[in-house]
Amino acid sequence: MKADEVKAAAGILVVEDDRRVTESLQQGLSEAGFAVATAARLAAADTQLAQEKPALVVLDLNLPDGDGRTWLRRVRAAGHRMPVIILTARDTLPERVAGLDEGADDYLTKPFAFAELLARIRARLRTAAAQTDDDVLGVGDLEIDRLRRQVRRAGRAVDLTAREFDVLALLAQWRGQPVSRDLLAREVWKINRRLTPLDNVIDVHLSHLREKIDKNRAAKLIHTVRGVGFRLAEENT
Amino acid sequence: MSFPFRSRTFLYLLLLLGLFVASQAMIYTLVEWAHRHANPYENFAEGIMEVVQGVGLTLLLVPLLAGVAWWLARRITGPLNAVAATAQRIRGGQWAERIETATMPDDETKVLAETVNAAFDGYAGVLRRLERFSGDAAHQLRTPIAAMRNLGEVALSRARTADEYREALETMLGELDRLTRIVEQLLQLSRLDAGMLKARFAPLPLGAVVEQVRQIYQPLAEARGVELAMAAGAGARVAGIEELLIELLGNLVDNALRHTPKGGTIRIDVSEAGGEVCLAVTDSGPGIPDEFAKKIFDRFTQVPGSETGTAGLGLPLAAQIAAVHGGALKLANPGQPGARFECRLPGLGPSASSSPPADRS
Repeated sequence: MKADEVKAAAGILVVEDDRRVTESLQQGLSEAGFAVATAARLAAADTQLAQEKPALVVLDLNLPDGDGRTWLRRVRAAGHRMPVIILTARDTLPERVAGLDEGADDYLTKPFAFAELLARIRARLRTAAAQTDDDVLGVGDLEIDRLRRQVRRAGRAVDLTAREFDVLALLAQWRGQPVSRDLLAREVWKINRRLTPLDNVIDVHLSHLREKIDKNRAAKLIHTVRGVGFRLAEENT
Repeated sequence: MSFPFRSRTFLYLLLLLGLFVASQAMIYTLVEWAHRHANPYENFAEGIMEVVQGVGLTLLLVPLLAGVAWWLARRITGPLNAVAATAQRIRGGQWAERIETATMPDDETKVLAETVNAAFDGYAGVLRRLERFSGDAAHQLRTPIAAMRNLGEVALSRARTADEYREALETMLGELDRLTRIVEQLLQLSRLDAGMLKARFAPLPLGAVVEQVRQIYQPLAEARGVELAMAAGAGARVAGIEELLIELLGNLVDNALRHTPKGGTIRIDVSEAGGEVCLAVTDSGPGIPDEFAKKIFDRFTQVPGSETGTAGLGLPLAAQIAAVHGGALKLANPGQPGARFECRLPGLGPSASSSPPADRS
Protein backbone atom coordinates (compact mmCIF):
# COMPACT_ATOMS: atom_id res chain seq x y z
CA MET A 1 0.00 0.00 0.00
CA LYS A 2 1.04 3.53 -0.55
CA ALA A 3 2.89 5.37 2.19
CA ASP A 4 0.42 8.21 2.61
CA GLU A 5 -2.38 5.74 3.27
CA VAL A 6 -0.50 3.95 5.99
CA LYS A 7 0.37 7.27 7.57
CA ALA A 8 -3.28 8.23 7.73
CA ALA A 9 -4.25 5.07 9.70
CA ALA A 10 -7.74 6.41 10.13
CA GLY A 11 -9.93 4.53 12.58
CA ILE A 12 -12.92 2.68 11.20
CA LEU A 13 -15.68 1.24 13.36
CA VAL A 14 -17.43 -1.76 11.82
CA VAL A 15 -20.86 -2.35 13.38
CA GLU A 16 -21.97 -5.75 12.11
CA ASP A 17 -23.25 -8.84 13.87
CA ASP A 18 -22.24 -11.46 11.31
CA ARG A 19 -18.90 -12.74 12.52
CA ARG A 20 -17.59 -13.76 9.10
CA VAL A 21 -18.45 -10.46 7.49
CA THR A 22 -16.83 -8.67 10.43
CA GLU A 23 -13.69 -10.80 10.22
CA SER A 24 -13.24 -10.34 6.51
CA LEU A 25 -13.87 -6.59 6.74
CA GLN A 26 -11.45 -6.31 9.64
CA GLN A 27 -8.74 -8.16 7.78
CA GLY A 28 -9.34 -6.36 4.50
CA LEU A 29 -9.49 -2.90 6.04
CA SER A 30 -6.47 -3.53 8.28
CA GLU A 31 -4.46 -4.67 5.27
CA ALA A 32 -5.54 -1.49 3.53
CA GLY A 33 -3.95 0.47 6.37
CA PHE A 34 -6.90 1.36 8.58
CA ALA A 35 -7.19 0.89 12.31
CA VAL A 36 -10.32 -1.22 12.70
CA ALA A 37 -12.60 -1.50 15.72
CA THR A 38 -15.63 -3.78 15.63
CA ALA A 39 -18.97 -4.02 17.43
CA ALA A 40 -21.54 -6.77 17.10
CA ARG A 41 -24.21 -4.92 19.10
CA LEU A 42 -25.41 -1.35 19.12
CA ALA A 43 -24.55 -1.13 22.81
CA ALA A 44 -20.96 -2.10 22.01
CA ALA A 45 -20.99 0.39 19.16
CA ASP A 46 -21.78 3.16 21.63
CA THR A 47 -18.79 2.20 23.76
CA GLN A 48 -16.47 1.94 20.77
CA LEU A 49 -17.70 5.25 19.43
CA ALA A 50 -16.80 6.95 22.71
CA GLN A 51 -13.44 5.18 23.11
CA GLU A 52 -12.06 4.98 19.59
CA LYS A 53 -13.56 8.11 18.08
CA PRO A 54 -13.55 6.50 14.61
CA ALA A 55 -13.08 8.62 11.52
CA LEU A 56 -15.75 6.55 9.74
CA VAL A 57 -18.43 4.01 10.65
CA VAL A 58 -19.49 1.02 8.56
CA LEU A 59 -22.97 0.17 9.81
CA ASP A 60 -25.15 -2.89 9.29
CA LEU A 61 -28.85 -2.16 9.71
CA ASN A 62 -30.11 -5.42 11.23
CA LEU A 63 -28.53 -5.81 14.62
CA PRO A 64 -29.67 -8.10 17.41
CA ASP A 65 -30.34 -5.26 19.83
CA GLY A 66 -32.03 -2.85 17.48
CA ASP A 67 -32.28 -1.08 14.17
CA GLY A 68 -29.08 0.49 12.91
CA ARG A 69 -31.03 3.45 11.57
CA THR A 70 -32.41 4.31 15.00
CA TRP A 71 -28.89 4.16 16.37
CA LEU A 72 -27.62 6.36 13.56
CA ARG A 73 -30.30 8.97 14.23
CA ARG A 74 -29.37 8.99 17.90
CA VAL A 75 -25.65 9.25 17.15
CA ARG A 76 -26.26 12.10 14.72
CA ALA A 77 -28.47 13.87 17.26
CA ALA A 78 -25.62 13.55 19.78
CA GLY A 79 -23.47 15.55 17.38
CA HIS A 80 -21.22 12.89 15.79
CA ARG A 81 -20.36 14.04 12.30
CA MET A 82 -18.10 11.21 10.99
CA PRO A 83 -19.13 9.66 7.66
CA VAL A 84 -21.33 6.56 7.93
CA ILE A 85 -21.61 3.90 5.23
CA ILE A 86 -24.60 1.61 5.61
CA LEU A 87 -24.40 -2.07 4.66
CA THR A 88 -27.59 -3.97 4.28
CA ALA A 89 -29.28 -6.90 2.65
CA ARG A 90 -32.45 -4.85 2.25
CA ASP A 91 -32.20 -2.90 -0.97
CA THR A 92 -35.60 -1.53 -1.86
CA LEU A 93 -35.62 2.11 -2.82
CA PRO A 94 -37.58 3.36 0.22
CA GLU A 95 -35.03 1.67 2.49
CA ARG A 96 -32.25 3.42 0.68
CA VAL A 97 -33.88 6.80 0.95
CA ALA A 98 -34.71 6.24 4.62
CA GLY A 99 -31.08 5.34 5.34
CA LEU A 100 -29.75 8.46 3.67
CA ASP A 101 -32.39 10.59 5.38
CA GLU A 102 -31.26 9.39 8.76
CA GLY A 103 -27.79 10.69 8.19
CA ALA A 104 -25.93 7.99 6.31
CA ASP A 105 -23.46 9.21 3.72
CA ASP A 106 -23.45 6.14 1.55
CA TYR A 107 -25.29 2.89 1.10
CA LEU A 108 -24.02 -0.51 -0.05
CA THR A 109 -26.22 -3.52 -0.65
CA LYS A 110 -25.03 -6.98 0.32
CA PRO A 111 -23.43 -8.72 -1.41
CA PHE A 112 -20.98 -5.99 -2.32
CA ALA A 113 -17.46 -6.08 -3.72
CA PHE A 114 -14.87 -5.37 -1.07
CA ALA A 115 -13.01 -3.20 -3.57
CA GLU A 116 -16.09 -1.04 -3.81
CA LEU A 117 -16.45 -0.64 -0.06
CA LEU A 118 -12.78 0.27 0.13
CA ALA A 119 -13.20 2.76 -2.67
CA ARG A 120 -16.15 4.39 -0.95
CA ILE A 121 -14.41 4.53 2.41
CA ARG A 122 -11.45 6.21 0.78
CA ALA A 123 -13.71 8.61 -1.07
CA ARG A 124 -15.41 9.54 2.21
CA LEU A 125 -12.16 9.96 4.08
CA ARG A 126 -10.44 11.73 1.20
CA THR A 127 -7.13 10.24 2.29
CA ALA A 128 -6.88 8.05 -0.74
CA ALA A 129 -4.22 8.47 -3.28
CA ALA A 130 -6.46 6.38 -5.48
CA GLN A 131 -9.26 8.87 -5.78
CA THR A 132 -8.30 12.21 -7.08
CA ASP A 133 -9.90 15.28 -8.47
CA ASP A 134 -6.98 16.03 -10.78
CA ASP A 135 -7.98 16.76 -14.34
CA VAL A 136 -5.06 14.82 -15.75
CA LEU A 137 -4.40 11.34 -14.45
CA GLY A 138 -1.27 9.36 -15.19
CA VAL A 139 -0.53 5.67 -15.02
CA GLY A 140 2.95 4.85 -16.28
CA ASP A 141 3.30 6.54 -19.65
CA LEU A 142 -0.48 6.75 -20.02
CA GLU A 143 -2.02 10.17 -19.60
CA ILE A 144 -5.74 10.74 -19.24
CA ASP A 145 -7.03 14.29 -19.50
CA ARG A 146 -10.51 14.17 -18.02
CA LEU A 147 -11.25 17.79 -18.83
CA ARG A 148 -10.46 17.57 -22.56
CA ARG A 149 -11.34 13.89 -22.70
CA GLN A 150 -8.03 13.09 -24.36
CA VAL A 151 -5.73 10.12 -23.87
CA ARG A 152 -2.07 9.77 -24.66
CA ARG A 153 0.24 6.84 -24.34
CA ALA A 154 3.96 7.60 -24.49
CA GLY A 155 3.07 11.02 -25.85
CA ARG A 156 0.92 9.68 -28.71
CA ALA A 157 -2.76 10.47 -28.82
CA VAL A 158 -5.09 7.48 -28.48
CA ASP A 159 -8.47 7.75 -30.15
CA LEU A 160 -11.28 6.42 -27.95
CA THR A 161 -15.05 6.37 -28.21
CA ALA A 162 -16.97 8.24 -25.52
CA ARG A 163 -17.82 5.05 -23.60
CA GLU A 164 -14.29 3.68 -23.92
CA PHE A 165 -13.03 6.93 -22.47
CA ASP A 166 -15.51 6.73 -19.58
CA VAL A 167 -14.37 3.20 -18.79
CA LEU A 168 -10.72 4.17 -18.89
CA ALA A 169 -11.33 7.30 -16.80
CA LEU A 170 -13.08 5.23 -14.14
CA LEU A 171 -10.21 2.71 -14.07
CA ALA A 172 -7.77 5.62 -13.85
CA GLN A 173 -9.72 7.20 -11.04
CA TRP A 174 -9.22 4.00 -9.01
CA ARG A 175 -5.82 3.24 -10.47
CA GLY A 176 -4.05 0.44 -8.68
CA GLN A 177 -7.38 -0.83 -7.36
CA PRO A 178 -9.63 -3.39 -8.96
CA VAL A 179 -12.83 -1.89 -10.34
CA SER A 180 -15.78 -4.27 -10.28
CA ARG A 181 -18.03 -4.92 -13.25
CA ASP A 182 -20.94 -3.74 -11.11
CA LEU A 183 -19.29 -0.38 -10.58
CA LEU A 184 -18.39 -0.03 -14.27
CA ALA A 185 -21.97 -0.82 -15.27
CA ARG A 186 -23.39 1.65 -12.79
CA GLU A 187 -20.97 4.50 -13.41
CA VAL A 188 -20.44 4.24 -17.15
CA TRP A 189 -23.72 2.75 -18.42
CA LYS A 190 -25.95 3.78 -15.51
CA ILE A 191 -27.56 0.36 -15.37
CA ASN A 192 -27.64 -2.57 -12.98
CA ARG A 193 -25.75 -5.37 -14.70
CA ARG A 194 -27.33 -7.94 -12.43
CA LEU A 195 -30.63 -7.26 -14.18
CA THR A 196 -29.64 -6.06 -17.65
CA PRO A 197 -27.02 -8.27 -19.28
CA LEU A 198 -23.92 -6.16 -19.83
CA ASP A 199 -20.89 -8.40 -19.35
CA ASN A 200 -20.32 -8.95 -23.07
CA VAL A 201 -20.62 -5.21 -23.66
CA ILE A 202 -18.08 -4.51 -20.91
CA ASP A 203 -15.74 -7.14 -22.34
CA VAL A 204 -15.90 -5.58 -25.81
CA HIS A 205 -14.96 -2.18 -24.38
CA LEU A 206 -12.09 -3.63 -22.42
CA SER A 207 -10.79 -5.52 -25.43
CA HIS A 208 -10.97 -2.34 -27.52
CA LEU A 209 -9.11 -0.45 -24.81
CA ARG A 210 -6.43 -3.12 -24.70
CA GLU A 211 -6.16 -2.99 -28.46
CA LYS A 212 -5.70 0.76 -28.43
CA ILE A 213 -3.56 1.15 -25.32
CA ASP A 214 -1.64 -2.03 -24.62
CA LYS A 215 -1.19 -3.67 -28.00
CA ASN A 216 2.44 -3.97 -29.03
CA ARG A 217 3.61 -2.49 -25.74
CA ALA A 218 5.97 -4.24 -23.39
CA ALA A 219 4.26 -2.83 -20.29
CA LYS A 220 0.60 -3.77 -20.14
CA LEU A 221 -1.50 -1.35 -18.10
CA ILE A 222 -4.96 -2.92 -18.19
CA HIS A 223 -5.26 -6.02 -16.06
CA THR A 224 -8.10 -8.44 -15.55
CA VAL A 225 -8.70 -9.42 -11.93
CA ARG A 226 -10.63 -12.60 -12.48
CA GLY A 227 -13.84 -12.84 -10.51
CA VAL A 228 -13.50 -9.22 -9.45
CA GLY A 229 -13.08 -6.84 -12.36
CA PHE A 230 -10.35 -4.79 -13.96
CA ARG A 231 -7.39 -2.81 -12.76
CA LEU A 232 -5.33 -0.07 -14.32
CA ALA A 233 -1.77 -0.26 -13.01
CA GLU A 234 1.82 -0.20 -14.18
CA GLU A 235 2.59 -3.64 -12.91
CA ASN A 236 0.29 -6.57 -12.44
CA THR A 237 0.71 -7.45 -8.79
CA MET B 1 -64.33 -18.24 18.65
CA SER B 2 -67.72 -18.58 16.96
CA PHE B 3 -69.44 -20.01 20.05
CA PRO B 4 -69.81 -16.80 22.13
CA PHE B 5 -71.67 -15.17 19.26
CA ARG B 6 -74.20 -17.98 19.16
CA SER B 7 -74.54 -17.90 22.97
CA ARG B 8 -74.92 -14.15 22.86
CA THR B 9 -77.69 -14.38 20.27
CA PHE B 10 -79.34 -17.08 22.38
CA LEU B 11 -79.10 -14.90 25.49
CA TYR B 12 -80.59 -11.93 23.64
CA LEU B 13 -83.50 -14.10 22.56
CA LEU B 14 -83.94 -15.38 26.14
CA LEU B 15 -83.86 -11.80 27.41
CA LEU B 16 -86.55 -10.94 24.90
CA LEU B 17 -88.56 -13.90 26.12
CA GLY B 18 -88.15 -12.81 29.76
CA LEU B 19 -89.19 -9.28 28.89
CA PHE B 20 -92.22 -10.73 27.14
CA VAL B 21 -93.26 -12.82 30.17
CA ALA B 22 -92.64 -9.89 32.55
CA SER B 23 -94.66 -7.47 30.45
CA GLN B 24 -97.42 -10.08 30.17
CA ALA B 25 -97.58 -10.36 33.98
CA MET B 26 -97.61 -6.58 34.27
CA ILE B 27 -100.39 -6.19 31.73
CA TYR B 28 -102.48 -8.91 33.44
CA THR B 29 -101.98 -7.22 36.80
CA LEU B 30 -102.91 -3.82 35.37
CA VAL B 31 -105.99 -5.25 33.69
CA GLU B 32 -106.96 -6.99 36.93
CA TRP B 33 -106.40 -3.78 38.92
CA ALA B 34 -108.58 -1.78 36.48
CA HIS B 35 -111.18 -4.51 36.60
CA ARG B 36 -111.30 -4.34 40.41
CA HIS B 37 -111.73 -0.57 40.23
CA ALA B 38 -114.75 -1.01 37.98
CA ASN B 39 -116.28 -3.81 40.09
CA PRO B 40 -115.19 -3.14 43.70
CA TYR B 41 -117.19 -6.07 45.09
CA GLU B 42 -115.47 -8.89 43.19
CA ASN B 43 -112.92 -11.00 45.01
CA PHE B 44 -109.45 -9.51 44.45
CA ALA B 45 -107.59 -12.62 45.52
CA GLU B 46 -109.43 -14.59 42.90
CA GLY B 47 -108.40 -12.10 40.26
CA ILE B 48 -104.75 -12.34 41.28
CA MET B 49 -104.96 -16.10 41.03
CA GLU B 50 -106.08 -15.68 37.45
CA VAL B 51 -103.01 -13.57 36.73
CA VAL B 52 -100.72 -16.13 38.37
CA GLN B 53 -102.31 -18.90 36.35
CA GLY B 54 -101.97 -16.96 33.12
CA VAL B 55 -98.32 -16.12 33.74
CA GLY B 56 -97.65 -19.60 35.06
CA LEU B 57 -98.94 -21.13 31.86
CA THR B 58 -96.65 -18.87 29.87
CA LEU B 59 -93.75 -19.87 32.14
CA LEU B 60 -94.48 -23.47 31.36
CA LEU B 61 -93.97 -22.62 27.73
CA VAL B 62 -90.58 -20.98 28.46
CA PRO B 63 -88.44 -24.14 28.03
CA LEU B 64 -90.09 -24.75 24.68
CA LEU B 65 -89.58 -21.12 23.65
CA ALA B 66 -85.99 -21.27 24.88
CA GLY B 67 -85.51 -24.29 22.63
CA VAL B 68 -86.83 -22.26 19.71
CA ALA B 69 -84.49 -19.42 20.72
CA TRP B 70 -81.52 -21.81 20.72
CA TRP B 71 -82.49 -23.11 17.29
CA LEU B 72 -82.89 -19.55 15.99
CA ALA B 73 -79.50 -18.54 17.42
CA ARG B 74 -77.92 -21.48 15.61
CA ARG B 75 -79.62 -20.55 12.39
CA ILE B 76 -78.48 -16.94 12.54
CA THR B 77 -74.87 -17.72 13.46
CA GLY B 78 -74.56 -20.98 11.53
CA PRO B 79 -73.27 -19.49 8.26
CA LEU B 80 -70.76 -17.44 10.22
CA ASN B 81 -69.53 -20.58 11.92
CA ALA B 82 -69.16 -22.18 8.50
CA VAL B 83 -67.12 -19.16 7.32
CA ALA B 84 -64.95 -19.35 10.42
CA ALA B 85 -64.48 -23.09 10.18
CA THR B 86 -63.43 -22.91 6.52
CA ALA B 87 -61.13 -19.98 7.23
CA GLN B 88 -59.56 -22.04 10.01
CA ARG B 89 -59.01 -24.98 7.69
CA ILE B 90 -57.46 -22.68 5.07
CA ARG B 91 -55.22 -21.19 7.72
CA GLY B 92 -54.30 -24.72 8.72
CA GLY B 93 -52.76 -25.30 5.30
CA GLN B 94 -55.63 -26.38 3.05
CA TRP B 95 -55.03 -23.46 0.73
CA ALA B 96 -57.40 -24.65 -1.99
CA GLU B 97 -60.47 -24.78 0.24
CA ARG B 98 -63.16 -22.11 -0.08
CA ILE B 99 -66.37 -21.30 1.80
CA GLU B 100 -69.40 -22.92 0.15
CA THR B 101 -71.58 -19.97 -0.92
CA ALA B 102 -73.91 -21.69 -3.40
CA THR B 103 -76.30 -22.90 -0.66
CA MET B 104 -76.23 -19.65 1.27
CA PRO B 105 -79.22 -17.29 1.23
CA ASP B 106 -78.62 -14.07 -0.68
CA ASP B 107 -77.81 -11.90 2.31
CA GLU B 108 -74.98 -10.18 4.18
CA THR B 109 -73.52 -13.50 5.26
CA LYS B 110 -73.09 -14.53 1.64
CA VAL B 111 -71.45 -11.20 0.84
CA LEU B 112 -69.11 -11.77 3.77
CA ALA B 113 -68.31 -15.31 2.65
CA GLU B 114 -67.65 -14.21 -0.92
CA THR B 115 -65.42 -11.37 0.27
CA VAL B 116 -63.44 -13.76 2.42
CA ASN B 117 -63.14 -16.19 -0.52
CA ALA B 118 -61.88 -13.42 -2.80
CA ALA B 119 -59.30 -12.39 -0.21
CA PHE B 120 -58.09 -15.97 0.02
CA ASP B 121 -57.89 -16.19 -3.79
CA GLY B 122 -55.64 -13.13 -3.73
CA TYR B 123 -53.42 -14.53 -1.01
CA ALA B 124 -53.28 -17.90 -2.73
CA GLY B 125 -51.91 -16.15 -5.86
CA VAL B 126 -49.19 -14.38 -3.91
CA LEU B 127 -48.44 -17.59 -2.06
CA ARG B 128 -48.16 -19.60 -5.27
CA ARG B 129 -45.69 -17.09 -6.68
CA LEU B 130 -43.72 -17.08 -3.45
CA GLU B 131 -43.68 -20.85 -3.37
CA ARG B 132 -42.49 -20.95 -6.94
CA PHE B 133 -39.89 -18.31 -6.17
CA SER B 134 -38.45 -20.20 -3.23
CA GLY B 135 -38.62 -23.47 -5.12
CA ASP B 136 -36.90 -22.01 -8.18
CA ALA B 137 -34.37 -20.23 -6.06
CA ALA B 138 -33.42 -23.23 -3.99
CA HIS B 139 -33.17 -25.40 -7.08
CA GLN B 140 -31.17 -22.97 -9.18
CA LEU B 141 -28.83 -21.94 -6.42
CA ARG B 142 -27.75 -25.52 -5.88
CA THR B 143 -25.65 -25.67 -9.03
CA PRO B 144 -23.42 -22.65 -8.39
CA ILE B 145 -23.21 -23.57 -4.71
CA ALA B 146 -22.11 -27.08 -5.66
CA ALA B 147 -19.57 -25.64 -8.07
CA MET B 148 -18.11 -23.40 -5.38
CA ARG B 149 -18.04 -26.16 -2.85
CA ASN B 150 -16.22 -28.51 -5.21
CA LEU B 151 -13.76 -25.82 -6.20
CA GLY B 152 -12.92 -25.21 -2.56
CA GLU B 153 -12.63 -28.89 -1.75
CA VAL B 154 -10.44 -29.65 -4.75
CA ALA B 155 -8.22 -26.66 -4.05
CA LEU B 156 -7.66 -27.86 -0.47
CA SER B 157 -7.29 -31.55 -1.31
CA ARG B 158 -3.52 -31.22 -1.63
CA ALA B 159 -0.82 -28.59 -1.33
CA ARG B 160 -0.82 -26.16 -4.26
CA THR B 161 1.12 -23.21 -5.52
CA ALA B 162 -0.02 -19.69 -4.72
CA ASP B 163 -1.06 -19.27 -8.35
CA GLU B 164 -3.27 -22.34 -8.18
CA TYR B 165 -4.93 -21.10 -5.01
CA ARG B 166 -5.42 -17.73 -6.59
CA GLU B 167 -7.02 -19.31 -9.61
CA ALA B 168 -9.38 -21.37 -7.46
CA LEU B 169 -10.43 -18.28 -5.52
CA GLU B 170 -10.95 -16.30 -8.70
CA THR B 171 -13.15 -19.02 -10.14
CA MET B 172 -15.12 -19.13 -6.92
CA LEU B 173 -15.65 -15.38 -7.10
CA GLY B 174 -16.90 -15.81 -10.65
CA GLU B 175 -19.40 -18.43 -9.45
CA LEU B 176 -20.45 -16.15 -6.63
CA ASP B 177 -21.08 -13.41 -9.14
CA ARG B 178 -23.36 -15.77 -11.06
CA LEU B 179 -25.15 -16.65 -7.85
CA THR B 180 -25.57 -12.99 -6.94
CA ARG B 181 -27.11 -12.29 -10.29
CA ILE B 182 -29.62 -15.14 -10.00
CA VAL B 183 -30.64 -13.94 -6.55
CA GLU B 184 -31.03 -10.38 -7.76
CA GLN B 185 -33.08 -11.45 -10.79
CA LEU B 186 -35.34 -13.66 -8.69
CA LEU B 187 -35.86 -10.87 -6.18
CA GLN B 188 -36.67 -8.49 -9.00
CA LEU B 189 -39.18 -10.99 -10.40
CA SER B 190 -40.92 -11.35 -7.06
CA ARG B 191 -40.96 -7.58 -6.59
CA LEU B 192 -42.48 -7.07 -10.01
CA ASP B 193 -45.04 -9.72 -9.07
CA ALA B 194 -46.06 -7.61 -6.15
CA GLY B 195 -46.81 -4.68 -8.44
CA MET B 196 -47.11 -1.40 -6.52
CA LEU B 197 -44.96 0.31 -9.16
CA LYS B 198 -47.76 2.27 -10.79
CA ALA B 199 -47.14 5.25 -8.51
CA ARG B 200 -43.72 5.73 -10.12
CA PHE B 201 -44.97 5.65 -13.72
CA ALA B 202 -44.12 8.66 -15.85
CA PRO B 203 -44.80 9.42 -19.52
CA LEU B 204 -41.83 8.16 -21.56
CA PRO B 205 -40.97 8.57 -25.21
CA LEU B 206 -40.19 5.00 -26.24
CA GLY B 207 -37.84 6.23 -28.96
CA ALA B 208 -35.46 7.58 -26.32
CA VAL B 209 -35.43 4.24 -24.49
CA VAL B 210 -34.69 2.43 -27.76
CA GLU B 211 -31.88 4.84 -28.57
CA GLN B 212 -30.29 4.36 -25.15
CA VAL B 213 -30.38 0.59 -25.49
CA ARG B 214 -29.06 0.74 -29.04
CA GLN B 215 -26.12 2.86 -27.88
CA ILE B 216 -25.33 0.39 -25.13
CA TYR B 217 -25.29 -2.68 -27.39
CA GLN B 218 -23.98 -1.12 -30.62
CA PRO B 219 -20.27 -1.77 -29.84
CA LEU B 220 -21.03 -5.39 -28.93
CA ALA B 221 -23.05 -5.88 -32.12
CA GLU B 222 -20.21 -4.40 -34.17
CA ALA B 223 -17.69 -6.68 -32.50
CA ARG B 224 -19.91 -9.65 -33.34
CA GLY B 225 -20.38 -8.49 -36.93
CA VAL B 226 -24.10 -7.99 -36.42
CA GLU B 227 -26.01 -4.96 -37.62
CA LEU B 228 -28.19 -3.28 -35.02
CA ALA B 229 -30.88 -1.29 -36.82
CA MET B 230 -33.64 0.74 -35.32
CA ALA B 231 -36.79 2.35 -36.58
CA ALA B 232 -38.55 4.14 -33.77
CA GLY B 233 -41.71 6.14 -34.22
CA ALA B 234 -40.98 9.67 -33.21
CA GLY B 235 -43.93 10.21 -30.95
CA ALA B 236 -44.77 6.85 -29.40
CA ARG B 237 -45.09 7.32 -25.66
CA VAL B 238 -45.97 4.97 -22.84
CA ALA B 239 -46.51 5.37 -19.11
CA GLY B 240 -43.78 3.53 -17.31
CA ILE B 241 -40.48 3.37 -15.51
CA GLU B 242 -37.52 4.08 -17.76
CA GLU B 243 -35.05 1.89 -15.93
CA LEU B 244 -37.41 -1.09 -16.23
CA LEU B 245 -38.08 -0.54 -19.93
CA ILE B 246 -34.33 -0.36 -20.57
CA GLU B 247 -34.05 -3.63 -18.67
CA LEU B 248 -36.81 -5.16 -20.81
CA LEU B 249 -35.31 -4.08 -24.12
CA GLY B 250 -31.76 -4.79 -22.95
CA ASN B 251 -32.69 -8.38 -22.20
CA LEU B 252 -34.41 -8.76 -25.58
CA VAL B 253 -31.42 -7.33 -27.47
CA ASP B 254 -28.97 -9.43 -25.45
CA ASN B 255 -31.06 -12.49 -26.24
CA ALA B 256 -31.13 -11.59 -29.94
CA LEU B 257 -27.34 -11.04 -29.96
CA ARG B 258 -26.79 -14.48 -28.51
CA HIS B 259 -28.77 -16.10 -31.31
CA THR B 260 -27.75 -14.06 -34.33
CA PRO B 261 -24.84 -15.32 -36.41
CA LYS B 262 -22.11 -13.08 -37.77
CA GLY B 263 -23.31 -10.93 -40.64
CA GLY B 264 -26.86 -10.98 -39.35
CA THR B 265 -29.18 -8.13 -38.44
CA ILE B 266 -31.14 -7.23 -35.34
CA ARG B 267 -33.95 -4.76 -35.86
CA ILE B 268 -35.65 -2.81 -33.11
CA ASP B 269 -38.83 -1.11 -34.26
CA VAL B 270 -41.52 0.87 -32.55
CA SER B 271 -44.92 1.24 -34.12
CA GLU B 272 -48.22 2.58 -32.92
CA ALA B 273 -51.70 1.47 -33.84
CA GLY B 274 -55.07 1.69 -32.17
CA GLY B 275 -53.77 3.31 -29.00
CA GLU B 276 -51.24 0.52 -28.61
CA VAL B 277 -47.49 0.78 -28.92
CA CYS B 278 -45.60 -2.20 -30.28
CA LEU B 279 -41.92 -2.53 -29.47
CA ALA B 280 -40.43 -5.33 -31.52
CA VAL B 281 -37.00 -6.94 -31.64
CA THR B 282 -36.36 -9.14 -34.67
CA ASP B 283 -33.16 -11.09 -35.20
CA SER B 284 -31.88 -13.07 -38.14
CA GLY B 285 -31.02 -16.14 -36.14
CA PRO B 286 -32.49 -19.62 -36.57
CA GLY B 287 -35.68 -18.72 -34.70
CA ILE B 288 -37.22 -20.53 -31.77
CA PRO B 289 -38.58 -24.05 -32.34
CA ASP B 290 -42.26 -24.60 -31.59
CA GLU B 291 -41.58 -26.92 -28.66
CA PHE B 292 -39.59 -24.21 -26.88
CA ALA B 293 -41.82 -21.29 -27.82
CA LYS B 294 -44.22 -22.16 -25.04
CA LYS B 295 -41.53 -22.36 -22.42
CA ILE B 296 -39.23 -19.44 -23.19
CA PHE B 297 -41.02 -17.13 -20.78
CA ASP B 298 -40.86 -19.69 -17.99
CA ARG B 299 -38.11 -19.21 -15.49
CA PHE B 300 -34.86 -21.09 -16.03
CA THR B 301 -35.62 -22.32 -19.55
CA GLN B 302 -32.50 -22.92 -21.63
CA VAL B 303 -32.92 -23.07 -25.38
CA PRO B 304 -30.48 -25.64 -26.77
CA GLY B 305 -27.72 -24.14 -28.84
CA SER B 306 -27.68 -20.88 -26.88
CA GLU B 307 -24.58 -19.80 -25.04
CA THR B 308 -24.22 -21.18 -21.57
CA GLY B 309 -23.83 -18.94 -18.58
CA THR B 310 -27.28 -17.43 -18.62
CA ALA B 311 -29.69 -18.46 -15.93
CA GLY B 312 -32.74 -18.28 -18.19
CA LEU B 313 -34.28 -15.39 -16.32
CA GLY B 314 -33.88 -12.61 -18.89
CA LEU B 315 -37.00 -13.30 -20.92
CA PRO B 316 -39.23 -13.99 -17.87
CA LEU B 317 -38.03 -10.66 -16.45
CA ALA B 318 -38.77 -8.88 -19.72
CA ALA B 319 -42.25 -10.45 -19.87
CA GLN B 320 -42.91 -9.49 -16.27
CA ILE B 321 -41.88 -5.90 -16.93
CA ALA B 322 -44.24 -5.78 -19.92
CA ALA B 323 -47.06 -7.11 -17.71
CA VAL B 324 -46.33 -4.55 -14.99
CA HIS B 325 -46.71 -1.87 -17.65
CA GLY B 326 -50.13 -3.20 -18.59
CA GLY B 327 -48.89 -4.92 -21.73
CA ALA B 328 -47.64 -8.27 -22.90
CA LEU B 329 -44.50 -9.73 -24.43
CA LYS B 330 -44.91 -12.43 -27.06
CA LEU B 331 -42.89 -14.40 -29.52
CA ALA B 332 -44.61 -13.43 -32.77
CA ASN B 333 -43.30 -16.22 -34.97
CA PRO B 334 -42.61 -19.50 -33.18
CA GLY B 335 -41.04 -22.13 -35.36
CA GLN B 336 -39.96 -19.64 -38.02
CA PRO B 337 -36.44 -18.39 -38.70
CA GLY B 338 -35.59 -14.94 -37.36
CA ALA B 339 -37.26 -14.74 -33.97
CA ARG B 340 -39.47 -11.69 -33.54
CA PHE B 341 -40.39 -10.62 -30.02
CA GLU B 342 -43.26 -8.17 -29.77
CA CYS B 343 -43.97 -6.16 -26.69
CA ARG B 344 -47.34 -4.42 -26.78
CA LEU B 345 -47.90 -1.62 -24.33
CA PRO B 346 -50.79 0.79 -23.84
CA GLY B 347 -49.80 3.98 -25.69
CA LEU B 348 -50.19 7.53 -24.43
CA GLY B 349 -50.38 9.04 -27.92
CA PRO B 350 -47.77 11.43 -29.24
CA SER B 351 -46.86 14.39 -27.06
CA ALA B 352 -47.90 17.81 -28.36
CA SER B 353 -44.43 18.74 -29.54
CA SER B 354 -43.61 15.57 -31.46
CA SER B 355 -44.08 15.02 -35.15
CA PRO B 356 -47.09 13.07 -36.50
CA PRO B 357 -46.80 9.30 -36.95
CA ALA B 358 -46.71 9.74 -40.75
CA ASP B 359 -43.04 10.74 -40.41
CA ARG B 360 -42.10 7.31 -39.17
CA SER B 361 -39.28 5.68 -41.01
